[in-house]
Amino acid sequence: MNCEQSQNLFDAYLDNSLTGTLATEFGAHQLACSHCRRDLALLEVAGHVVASDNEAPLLDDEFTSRLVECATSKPAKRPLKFSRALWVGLPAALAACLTLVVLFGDKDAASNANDKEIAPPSVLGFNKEVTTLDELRANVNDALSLNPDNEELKKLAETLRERSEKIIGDTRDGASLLQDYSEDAIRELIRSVPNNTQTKPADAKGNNGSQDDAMQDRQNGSSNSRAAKPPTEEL
Amino acid sequence: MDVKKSQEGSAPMDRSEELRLVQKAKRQDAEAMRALIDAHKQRLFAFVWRMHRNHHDAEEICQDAFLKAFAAIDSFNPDYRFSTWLFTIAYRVTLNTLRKKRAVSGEMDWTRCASSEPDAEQEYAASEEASRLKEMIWQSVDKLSPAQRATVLLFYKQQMGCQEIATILETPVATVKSHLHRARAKLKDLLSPVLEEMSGSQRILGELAG
Ligand SMILES: [Zn+2]
Repeated sequence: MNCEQSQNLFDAYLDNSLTGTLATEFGAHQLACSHCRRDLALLEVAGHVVASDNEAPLLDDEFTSRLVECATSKPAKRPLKFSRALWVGLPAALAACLTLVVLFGDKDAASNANDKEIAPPSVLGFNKEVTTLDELRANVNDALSLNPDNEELKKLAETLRERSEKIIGDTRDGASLLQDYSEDAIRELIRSVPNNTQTKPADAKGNNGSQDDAMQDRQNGSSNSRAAKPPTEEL
Repeated sequence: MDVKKSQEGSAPMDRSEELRLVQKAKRQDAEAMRALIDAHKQRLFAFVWRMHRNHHDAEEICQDAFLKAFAAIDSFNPDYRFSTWLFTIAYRVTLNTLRKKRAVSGEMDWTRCASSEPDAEQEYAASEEASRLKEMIWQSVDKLSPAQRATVLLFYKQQMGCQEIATILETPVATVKSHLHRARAKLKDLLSPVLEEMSGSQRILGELAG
């Protein structure tokens, strides 16, 4: 056995799956070769250091209480202490979403949303937040189907399509997506859409799971190990 | 394995007890939620913290993972452990957070967060060089790709098998094995030169081997 063959067996050795003559030959090479012996010991030590890691700081005592309170309150609210991302992203999303509502959405839903303190912004008739890239895409595509000749909408739909293909399986929230798409661009787009689009609210059903699944499949290349599929990430 | 003190909370929960708590949590039972959180929080946090090296981000991600898990607990598949499900959600959130960070600031600046506070007790890693190698090992782990890093942490630290890791990473088992293989190769490439320039490498390795 040479060094290359020996190194190719490191994984099998470290995972305890090296048996029989191969194991004997491997052992013999380690005895004879200080280079392989040292590399193997180094990997064993690295594994040991990771395994014995206890440097992670402890969570504070309030963590559990905060979470329980949050999980059992309705509608579920998030503890303020950690929702930095939400508060950074929400204003942009809210602004863009409410503008969308004014132009495309159900007017009553929009005014109701203003009345309620924690009411989510309604987009294109959805009485829920735009939470995922897929969802945002679905909304824009709906708007496009009502305004097939709107160049800006076409452009946005195309951008979103490219983006979701580039970040396959991405579940980034709508807020951050809106942010990095550029709020100004969306505002500009909204202004340019003619007013005859307030007709039918988009279909709020069935636009989430199926597309997510399809993307997930592409990402995995296999449907293996998907039975424990957790919920789609939401804002 | 000589872990000097358990930061990981209680011992692994008995499966039937876990299912009982999940059933109660489905009915919004606060005590059941509390028990599930307490049983898993520190272990989950240790994993996420190692992925990010940032207390605030790690805490936020753990919190998100638990909230998402409880919000969707009706869809929990009892064939799996609650911890597997929780880690799967947390890993997704972790990846998204890392992506956002990269989008905002280019590559992560690992040097900023690479060095954690020195261990007060230093039960092993007695010599200065052994401590340095240990630090280099963590810096090398930080240089792995997120998927490789997650695989290494779940495999070694959380003692999970490749099948469970595959579930968490939502990827085929073969991919997990490939992550592990590439991670080891990269660690070897990064650490071998470091060890080479240390005198008494065998002694150092012996110290760290525990
Ligand atoms: Zn050799």
